[in-house]
Amino acid sequence: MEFNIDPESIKIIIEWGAPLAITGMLIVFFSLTLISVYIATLPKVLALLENYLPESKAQDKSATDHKVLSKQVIAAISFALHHQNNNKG
Amino acid sequence: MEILFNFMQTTGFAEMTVWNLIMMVIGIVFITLAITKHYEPLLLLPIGFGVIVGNIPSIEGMALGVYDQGSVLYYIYFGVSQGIFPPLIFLGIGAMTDFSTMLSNPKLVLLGAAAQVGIFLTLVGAIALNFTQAEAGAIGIIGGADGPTSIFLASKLAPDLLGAIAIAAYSYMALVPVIQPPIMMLLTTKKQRLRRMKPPRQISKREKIIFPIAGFLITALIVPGALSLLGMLFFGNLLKESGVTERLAQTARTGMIDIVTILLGFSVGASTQAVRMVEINGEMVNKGFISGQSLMIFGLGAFSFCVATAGGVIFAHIMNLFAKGDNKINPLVGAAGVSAVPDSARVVQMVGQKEDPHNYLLMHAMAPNVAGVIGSAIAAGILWSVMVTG
Repeated sequence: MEFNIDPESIKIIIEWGAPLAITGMLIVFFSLTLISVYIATLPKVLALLENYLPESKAQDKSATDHKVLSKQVIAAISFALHHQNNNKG
Repeated sequence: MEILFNFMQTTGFAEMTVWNLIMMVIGIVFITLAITKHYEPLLLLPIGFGVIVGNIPSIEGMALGVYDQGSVLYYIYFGVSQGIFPPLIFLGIGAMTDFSTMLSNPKLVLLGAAAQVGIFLTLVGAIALNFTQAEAGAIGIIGGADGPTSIFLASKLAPDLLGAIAIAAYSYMALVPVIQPPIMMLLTTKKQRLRRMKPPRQISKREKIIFPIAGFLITALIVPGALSLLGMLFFGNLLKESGVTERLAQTARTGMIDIVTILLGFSVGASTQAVRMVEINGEMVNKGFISGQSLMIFGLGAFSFCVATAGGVIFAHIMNLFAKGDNKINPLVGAAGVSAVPDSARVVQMVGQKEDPHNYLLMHAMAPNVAGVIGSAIAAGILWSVMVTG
């Protein structure tokens, strides 16, 4: 393995390396720009879809009744504690 | 006595060389750094111990090392040499990654793209140092700051350099808090470092579910070479975000990734034999770790990290030329395009907070950080496609 830069390497850089570097960066930028544009556009598309399939309903379908039960449970516990405190008093 | 004498000839002591000892010391250094300094311990410790194991001299006629067909290490190393382990790690990474910050500010994705300049400039540098084109591609990917991607591409393009490339990649990933801050300070002014960014918007569950599917389709159709890495990344993310496969996501980001990390780290370490003579075209060539090539790979690795960091910060300055007021980016965030997740995002937070303790850049920095993971996988796919198709 040599440390000095020989003319053959420079030739490979000019004919292959540099074009690959430029093309590769362009493809990476293009791909991520496409993703960036898609991400920026998605909320607008979903806003249109909201008319036909509202997300709040979809979330409620997939979510359990855990939140509703939690409020009921909390209310029941609160009442029981209040009742207990009143009886102690 | 003859039996005893013959047995002594088969001990590791008989075949030990100075180079094996040097590698064992290197392994111990890795273990010490992992334990005392917490430098990437989940990888440096298995790698360090693997280095020690791999440099016990092997005995002729006994299949012991990773390169000896039939040995246990050979079969474990199969997952590395055939590029199986890196996509599995990406599955786990996808299952633990939150793309919300990226979804909330899509323009920061471009910083992840800009940081990949480290890969391609390092490729050019490797060619200048007389590496072959395939080797240059494998070395260049170190600039992606992504261990699994580096190992994946090295296994395809330059298997003989895999040990040096993997160790260079993980070592510099561990040194991100040391490498990046001086470059960030050099390329930014105090006023720029103090800049505060708009808070990110809330992302809906639907956006989070659709993104991995669409993201995979966009990237895999453009660069099919990245299919296995990005497919697993986005699949893992879908398992996480769908909400109906939490058990699978939990397994992917805990048990599974831990198992693969152990096997990958250990076998990569064991592959770094000090001296390994291989016959090529009738000539015995040293393909071991201790060689001028490995030194150059380490030098190029440092170069790639520096260039990647600078590329991200400079591109943030360029983006700010077209942005106004609150939409301007704190240029420090550009450094997080180096996809050492989440270390480079933490470095951005740390450097920003030195100027203003109340400036929270971490969530903003996570956007280019995770975009950089996608960007480096795309770059790997490009390099593999180019090398395969000529």
